Amino acid sequence: MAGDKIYALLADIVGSENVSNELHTLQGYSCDPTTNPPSLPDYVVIATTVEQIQKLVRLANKERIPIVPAVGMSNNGGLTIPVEGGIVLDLHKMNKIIEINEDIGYAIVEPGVTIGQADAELKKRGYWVSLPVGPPGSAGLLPGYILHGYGHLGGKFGINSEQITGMEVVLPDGELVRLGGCAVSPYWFHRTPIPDLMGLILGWQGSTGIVTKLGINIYPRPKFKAMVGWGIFTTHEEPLPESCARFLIKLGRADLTYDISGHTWGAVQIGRGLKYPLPPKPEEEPELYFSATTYAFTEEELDVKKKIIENLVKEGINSGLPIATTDVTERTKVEMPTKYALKYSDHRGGGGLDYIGSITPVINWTQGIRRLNEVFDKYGFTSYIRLSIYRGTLQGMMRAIMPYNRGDENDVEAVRKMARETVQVILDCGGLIYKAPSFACEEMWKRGDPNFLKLLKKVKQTLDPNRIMNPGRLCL
Amino acid sequence: MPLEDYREFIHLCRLCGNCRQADTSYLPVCPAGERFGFDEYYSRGKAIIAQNLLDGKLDWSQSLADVIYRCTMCGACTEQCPVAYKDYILKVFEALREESVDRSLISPSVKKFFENIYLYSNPWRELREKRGEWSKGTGIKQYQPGDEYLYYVGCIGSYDERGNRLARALGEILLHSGLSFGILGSEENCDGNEVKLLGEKGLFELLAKENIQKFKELGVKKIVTLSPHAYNVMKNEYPRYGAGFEVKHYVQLIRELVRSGKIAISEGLNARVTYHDPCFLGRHNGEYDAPREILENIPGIELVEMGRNRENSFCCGGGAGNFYTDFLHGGENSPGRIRVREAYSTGAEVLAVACPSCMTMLEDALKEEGLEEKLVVKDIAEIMQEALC
Repeated sequence: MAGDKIYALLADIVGSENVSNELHTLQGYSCDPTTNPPSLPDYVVIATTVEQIQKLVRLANKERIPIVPAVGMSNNGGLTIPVEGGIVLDLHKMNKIIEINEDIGYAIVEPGVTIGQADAELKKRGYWVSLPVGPPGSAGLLPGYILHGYGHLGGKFGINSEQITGMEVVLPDGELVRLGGCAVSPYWFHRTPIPDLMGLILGWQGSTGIVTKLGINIYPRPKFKAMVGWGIFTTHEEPLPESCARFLIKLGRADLTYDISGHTWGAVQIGRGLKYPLPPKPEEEPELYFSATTYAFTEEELDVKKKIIENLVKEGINSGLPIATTDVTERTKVEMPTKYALKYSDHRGGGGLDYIGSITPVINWTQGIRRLNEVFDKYGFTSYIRLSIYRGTLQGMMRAIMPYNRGDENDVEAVRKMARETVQVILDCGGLIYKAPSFACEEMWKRGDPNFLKLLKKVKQTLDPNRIMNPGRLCL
Repeated sequence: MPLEDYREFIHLCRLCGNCRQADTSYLPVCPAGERFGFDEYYSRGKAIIAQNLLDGKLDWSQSLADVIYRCTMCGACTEQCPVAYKDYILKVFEALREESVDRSLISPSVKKFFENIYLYSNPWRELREKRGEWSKGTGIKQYQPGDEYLYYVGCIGSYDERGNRLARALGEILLHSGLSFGILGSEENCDGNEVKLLGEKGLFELLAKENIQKFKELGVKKIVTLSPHAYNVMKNEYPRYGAGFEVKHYVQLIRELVRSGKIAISEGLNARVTYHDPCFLGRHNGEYDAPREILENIPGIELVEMGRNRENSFCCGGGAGNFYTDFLHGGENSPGRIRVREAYSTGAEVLAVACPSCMTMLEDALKEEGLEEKLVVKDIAEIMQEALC
């Protein structure tokens, strides 16, 4: 079903084999496993060069057609659903690791480089990067960085966007620009001290440009891994007392771990593959499971680190906190990247997985987990909350995950409502939603500084006056 | 089964896109996806197509049927799928094809394939009487009741010039071992594996029933196949139609013969060899070790692995009748060309296969890549034949 004028213009740029307006092609790009409403693009285009992307963006501007970038089709949160139609720009074939600079410590990747591909290549050279937690190895690496995702080294190095050292971007007018030190230096090693303009791109969800190259920090890959686990033995109604939240903060500040993460009891059972409905939680099991992961270059270093973490946990136990050590043997064996997380979606027998993630002060997790439990209970879902502390901060990821049955309309509707209520809980806790779906953006802007929203709109209008870049996504 | 019967399973697809890439090597695994690129060529996209067809949000069309047929049914996606949908993926693909057939939306080449099989028992309209000509002068005899094994050769082994050489090589090995076996010659019929995977259920049932009846009349108890495709269908599908034969692919039988000392090996190839796992021997039937054991036991061979191997192997592009229809051909992204480049990058001098379909696909790809002087494709039967004492 080729034939229209736009189709012909697109085909001139990328070749007819790389453009489609067939319904059966478009539908694959219209949805994701979340409850965000599907929306069809008008065209799907596969680009293989930066020059093609520039031409496509210029064409989109001229013809006033929306353009939405996508990579590995593992998207969640409706991130690449073209809310107002237009062109979905599939970048998965731009999958080169352009440089791994071991002397200065960064890698430059194209947008189609997958998490697994990057990890496999870096592993050969004894390095790694903070790998987005949750997506499979086939997911794009770049989106997990430019959308402020959390990585498996977040407990040591912070959120993934903090690891970005440089980028090349096609702006909405088709201009190509470098941001970060690489705008001046031949090296892609640092964002400052020149003015850091990456804020014009990071977290904008494709609303201000298309990132065509990304520089990120690489780190030497330690050989040894240890995990220390503990459970918090409380109640479903008061799962995380403030004393326990302060204990987590203390552990995070000890600066020994690469990750400190926790899960509600139900989440751990789902991870083990148990199906809905779960049996009641046995009394002897904890309400929350936590683990601290550390790595080391020698066994001696690992022993020392592990011992210190264990001692900190013991101190917590001895001080009367409702915690006790738990076995983590099973999790110690899990390597990143992993498809372990994808099994969650089988819980209610149905492929769907929605989530609302946030950066929230750890001290407010106390209120947050309690209230999220209430939301899960209200709709008859297993409470599935994941928590991770960011390095050197008193804040972390608080994420409500909702596996559901895509084939059951009642489940779909319930999760839509739960997602909205989750947003309210997180905002009440002073949290900020990341990879925010449109409805979450709307809620944040409602509560936010009006002048901040005004500035966002002004920036968007300046960069993208014809509103072609992922319009509708940020509700601006 | 009709597509409707899979309604309650299709939504099990997690839409995660993990069907695109192999775990561990993190290299692409889907031949159609690599060739054409759009999401609809991967399992994720086909689940969305199937769901939308069932929900009335998508109409059948020739263009849709073409997408459905550009898949080799290699099963790579099922290996990567992390959720329960993995058990339904190929069944849904097959149901989509059956419906394409029912709606007469198949391409002319698929139609011709079915017609030729129906009329001539092979895809190339060759005469049935010529089916056993490859065996002339080899000493391989017609199967007689009482023979231990029926050597089932298949269409490529019987009619393709290169396939003939493989058929003869295996025949010579079996003769050398002293095994009692025979072929059906002009009485051999198509096994139907590709017919089934292309969605012509009626024709497949006809072939399966005729073959089973013939084998039973001859008192066949054990079958050894040259092709993994025949092995797959006879082992996994024929029992549904009353077959009770013991079926082996030839690498499994050769391994047994070597282990029992019935085949003696001298120094054969002196070369670095990489082995390409045929999808219908490996992923579909879990046989990864026998071919490797055979190669490793031949003095002079250094076996090296490609990045994509065993369950994460990359299809040659010939599965599900594509060796005939060739829907995935064209350009440097055709699966065979990708695979021979990968084989060459290992430093191997020989690309070993255990399938006549892989042999023809990869030899063609080698020529297109201009690598004929640097890499040679050999079947394990040929390698083994050269190593016989």
